[in-house]
Formats: sequence, structure tokens, C-alpha cells
Amino acid sequence: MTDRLTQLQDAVDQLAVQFYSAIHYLSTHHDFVPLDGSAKVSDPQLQPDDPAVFESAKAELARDIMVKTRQIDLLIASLPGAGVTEQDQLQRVQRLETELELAEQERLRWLMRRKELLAKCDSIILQLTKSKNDISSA
Amino acid sequence: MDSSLSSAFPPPPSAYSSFVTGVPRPPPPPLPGPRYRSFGMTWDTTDALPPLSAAGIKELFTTSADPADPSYRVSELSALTKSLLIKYLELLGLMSTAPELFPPLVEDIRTILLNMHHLLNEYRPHQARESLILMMEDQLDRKLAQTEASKQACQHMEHVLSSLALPADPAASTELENSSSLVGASSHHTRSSDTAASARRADMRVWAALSSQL
Repeated sequence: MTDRLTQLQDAVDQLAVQFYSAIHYLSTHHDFVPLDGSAKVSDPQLQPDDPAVFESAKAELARDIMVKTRQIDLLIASLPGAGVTEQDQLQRVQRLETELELAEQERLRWLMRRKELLAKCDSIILQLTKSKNDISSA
Repeated sequence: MDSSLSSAFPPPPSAYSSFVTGVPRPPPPPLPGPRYRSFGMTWDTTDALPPLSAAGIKELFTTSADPADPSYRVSELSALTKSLLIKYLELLGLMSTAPELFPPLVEDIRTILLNMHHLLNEYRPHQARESLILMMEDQLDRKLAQTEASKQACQHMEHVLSSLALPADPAASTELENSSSLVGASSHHTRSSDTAASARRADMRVWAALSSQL
């Protein structure tokens, strides 16, 4: 997953592409309207869509643009840490750094204790097997 | 251009003459200032985001008085989004009446888009710090969880060891054993039955402790 800033920049780019494709569709699929008394013009490079199809496509393009805009608005509103200043952030980082150091010391302390206890268990097991051997050999 | 199109292989990059062997040719002098050349382009070594005006683009947003406060970007961004839509509507209207007049409107839309991207890029250091904070919090949580797990494992082991009621210090117990074996070397037979009994007792305790854990 990308971060929100990249998501937002991608959404803005997609909106621009949608702008382009909407205009492209309108200019390549529209029908002609005959002027009074003249025949309807036609263009061999242009295949007009059926009026109903054209209308629904237009509505869909407009709806897509609005959805994308809403998405952009939402992403803008959820930009991380919008109300936090740089000083706040740096102070927070420093505090976390000392906390991390303390946590690391505590962690190592308990790991050492764990190793000690493990060694104790080992020696007890060895002791037991040794005395067992003593008995069986006696 | 023609020769490069008709030849079977593409021509070498234009800088090749600097690297021909046998021809003593000094490399081009380094650029003055904090800049360097790469693939025919010059780059700045200082990693800075130049203002839009440096690229000849109009800045459409007003920065807040306090440069450390990033909150102005949010309102500016939503304002720019709305301007973008309105400009697009204008463009659509224009295209239906006077399509040849489109260039200034497209230029406006381009400027707005560039401004939005610039504002977001300005936001990146802020976002990087925010991500760093999240990662550090994660790390702290992991460390604390590990400490807690170690603590519990230690308490567990201490509990098992104490229920065995064996000498807690292995060094002391081996010392004891050594000394007793030195003293009791002659009375080996009488001692072995004691040892067997105490070992059996110890065994029973170990089994009891183990079965209580299972």
C-alpha cells in the first residue's frame, strides 16, 4: 500500500486523465445537428453514438469525475498529522528515542536473566543424569 | 539523425570521445558550485524542493505566516480542487461554443494541477516524520512485548526450579559434590545408597514438577 500523499497525487493525475478522456469521448462520439434547411453533415472519422447511449455515457463520465473529486477531498481531509507542527514531531521523535533505549536495556536485562535460568536448568538436568548413572553403576 | 536511423546499431553516447583509449584527452572540468553532470543533464547536489516560481509557474496558494505550520496546505488543496473543477466546466462550455480559444484554459488547468502536486510534495517531509514516529511506536511496542514474554518465561522457570527445591546455585552444588566425593572416597559403598536415595527423591520431584506443567 502506498502512502496517502502518493495516493492523493495519483488520484489528481487520474482526475486529469478523466478530464481528457471525457472531452475525447464527447468530441469523437457526438452527433451532428442540421442547420435550418440544410442536410445533416457527417464526418467519416466520427461514429456518432446512439442518442440514448451518448446521454448515458455522458452521465457516467460526469459521475466518475465527481466520484474522483470526492475521493480527492476525502484524501485531503485525511492527510496524516495535519494539525501537528514540525517542532511537535521532532520532540515526539526524541521522546520515543529515549523510551526505545530504556526498553532495549530492560529487554536485554530480562534476556540475560532468561539465559542464566536456562543454564541453571541445564546444570540440574546434568546433575540428575549424573547421579542416575552413579546409581546404575553402583 | 539520418545515420543513426539507418545504421544497424545505435551510435555511442556523444560523450564517448572522452573515453577512447590511446587518445590523451582530459575529462571535462567539474561544474562550479554544488552541481554534477549525469547523462548530459546537470543536477543539483543539494536535495531541495525548488519553489514553483523557479520553474516559471504561478503560485496559486498563499503560504501561512508560520512556515512550520502545515495546516494551510489542507485548505489550499481543497480550494484548488474546486477551482480545478470549475476551470474544467469552463473549458467544456468553451469547447462547445468557441473551441479554438482553449489554450489559456488548458494552461490554467495545468497550472492548478502543478500547484496541487507541488503542495503535496512540500508535505512529504512532514509525512516522512509522521511515518518515522509510527515506526518507532511499533518498535517500542514490539520491544515491550518481548520484555514481557521474557519476564513471564523467567517467572515460570523460577517457579519450576523452586518447586524442585534443589540448590538454586549450580556452582555451589557442584562444589558440595566435589568436597563430599573427596571426603567420602574411602566410604564409597556406604555413601552410594544415600546418594541413590537422594537422587531418587530428586527424580520424583522433577517428575512431579514436570507433570504439574503438562
